[in-house]
Amino acid sequence: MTTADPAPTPPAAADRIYVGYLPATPRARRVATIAIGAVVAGAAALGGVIAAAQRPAGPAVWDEQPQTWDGYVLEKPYPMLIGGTQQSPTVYLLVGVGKIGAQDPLKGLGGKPARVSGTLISRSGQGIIELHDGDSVTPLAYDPGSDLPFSSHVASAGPESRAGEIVDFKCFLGAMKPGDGKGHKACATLCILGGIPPAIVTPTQGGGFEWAVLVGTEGAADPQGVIPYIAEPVRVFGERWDVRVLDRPVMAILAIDRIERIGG
Amino acid sequence: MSAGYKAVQWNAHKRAYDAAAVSAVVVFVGVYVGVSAAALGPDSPGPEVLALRGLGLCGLALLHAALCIGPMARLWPGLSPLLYNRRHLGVMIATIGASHAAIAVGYYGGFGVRNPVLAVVDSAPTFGSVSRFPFETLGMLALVILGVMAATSHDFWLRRLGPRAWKSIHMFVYLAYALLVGHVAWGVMQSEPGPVAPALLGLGVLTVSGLHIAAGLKELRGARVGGGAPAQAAGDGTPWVDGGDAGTIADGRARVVALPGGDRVAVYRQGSALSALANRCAHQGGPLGEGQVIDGCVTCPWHGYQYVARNGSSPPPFTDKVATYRLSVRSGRVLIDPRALPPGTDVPPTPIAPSGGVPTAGSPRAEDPS
Repeated sequence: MTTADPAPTPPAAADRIYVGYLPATPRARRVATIAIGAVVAGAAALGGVIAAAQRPAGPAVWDEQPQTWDGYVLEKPYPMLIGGTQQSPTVYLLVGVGKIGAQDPLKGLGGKPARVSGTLISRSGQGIIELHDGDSVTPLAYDPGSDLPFSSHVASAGPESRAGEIVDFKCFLGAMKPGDGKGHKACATLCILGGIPPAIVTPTQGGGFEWAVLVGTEGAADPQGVIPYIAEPVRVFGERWDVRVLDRPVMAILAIDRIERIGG
Repeated sequence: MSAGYKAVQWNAHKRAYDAAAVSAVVVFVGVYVGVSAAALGPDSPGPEVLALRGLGLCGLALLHAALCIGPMARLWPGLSPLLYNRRHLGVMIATIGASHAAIAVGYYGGFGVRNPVLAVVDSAPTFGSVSRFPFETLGMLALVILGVMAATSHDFWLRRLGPRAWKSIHMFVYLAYALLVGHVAWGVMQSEPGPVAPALLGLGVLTVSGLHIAAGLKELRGARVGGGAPAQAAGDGTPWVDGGDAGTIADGRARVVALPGGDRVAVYRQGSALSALANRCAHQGGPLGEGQVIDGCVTCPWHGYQYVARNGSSPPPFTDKVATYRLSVRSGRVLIDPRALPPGTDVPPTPIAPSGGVPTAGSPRAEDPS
């Protein structure tokens, strides 16, 4: 048996529940003030912690100042320009604007001298040239007195395997930061489908990397062969071919025999 | 409460709430971008990636906050000011998520030979692999859910769809949350090795689930489970439910009683009389029994919707109604007829009888339970 009286005291006005359309009670004001401070401070702390924990995207630089380069064009397996001087030859892969290769503007220029204009994307001393839209390639007349390193060939260096990540080389060198990892997989896939050279990159001590352009067994571009393995830890087995200028190796190309995922 | 619809019915509280939320977003993204640039220098991700990540992380953090507010307000009613404008928070989350997705699609899927959206969600899909599952798909699905929720968040849709259907749609926020946890686990956590991402995400999941469990347990403990009172039976033999000691309900407050069928009844005291109405607010299903009598009306703690206790109807010009229940008091015990009356049915308040007093029936139509 219980009693109904005395009736509990009605809640005082200060104890009124929070109702948004009524004037806030001092208690609600106190709660709101503390909550706003806590949320803003928490947002700052969380943003800072997450930012500080990110991995570096790499020392990649896209120099947007337009430049021109003279050299000899190689069309296959991917367009490249062999330039510099006979004492100090250089080789740059050539790509188009966006996620498109440079195959079209260089068609028919294989083995010929040309002047290209574009911008340089580089990372750890390795560069790639993005051609301008429009008239970015001008064929040059053969000049026997030129200092261009005109003698180049591709030679086998035998079987080789490399562990690393398959990337599109344009983004990896700095078109995007970061241009690797799973978060970049969709972009890398699109780039490689569009004709950007795929490469396997292997990190080295000191933040550098080794790399090789990937081609199919027959030595031709084979984007479909690498797409299932992009942005994963893999080991690529195949035959290595070196682009040699004046008999010096300037670029490694790995003709894929097979690709194995590392760790499953 | 409203009798008509406006895009947003602003008041000082909503403005302050939104200003605080926008400030938190700006501070989060600003600190994230600033610390990234300062800590990583030339090795910092590019501006597009910083914007993409900043917005995505901010949206996920806000979603955690939105999911925690509900149970926190149940556990600590003093925090109910945080609950008041939660729908604006939801719209903000969907907007931030859409911005994050737009940058991702434009940056990663654009400038190429394929449709940008397809390029992002359909690039070498590996749906059959657990470790290589395409995280973008999870994010897109979550965004669709959040978008539908934001689009239907207005009271116009609440009224058109009805509270139950509306609430059902909005419960999909938990699926969206699970999808976003997967989006991060299969995306950021595989790209950004290190303990911080899994630690923060794990802490977030534990906090959200822990608060929900704690609030659920509190509700289970708090709601008096009414037992049958065989001696008290309605005309059809349905036993009335014992709602506990009538005298210990505070004036202007309620006791929530769980009926055998699972429905909950809020038994409100106004002065020396009791009234009972459904515990679910007609607006968004808020717990009416955790509210208070303000200006003579039962007031929902979530958004302040009000009802006259004796008939479950909102005062004019409002038209919202909830079910009412007949009451009786016998020997100081509250007895509840578990059969809900149609929403808006008038039931005169039941006086609380003095100790040992004669029981009184709460409705002129009520069968005398004795």
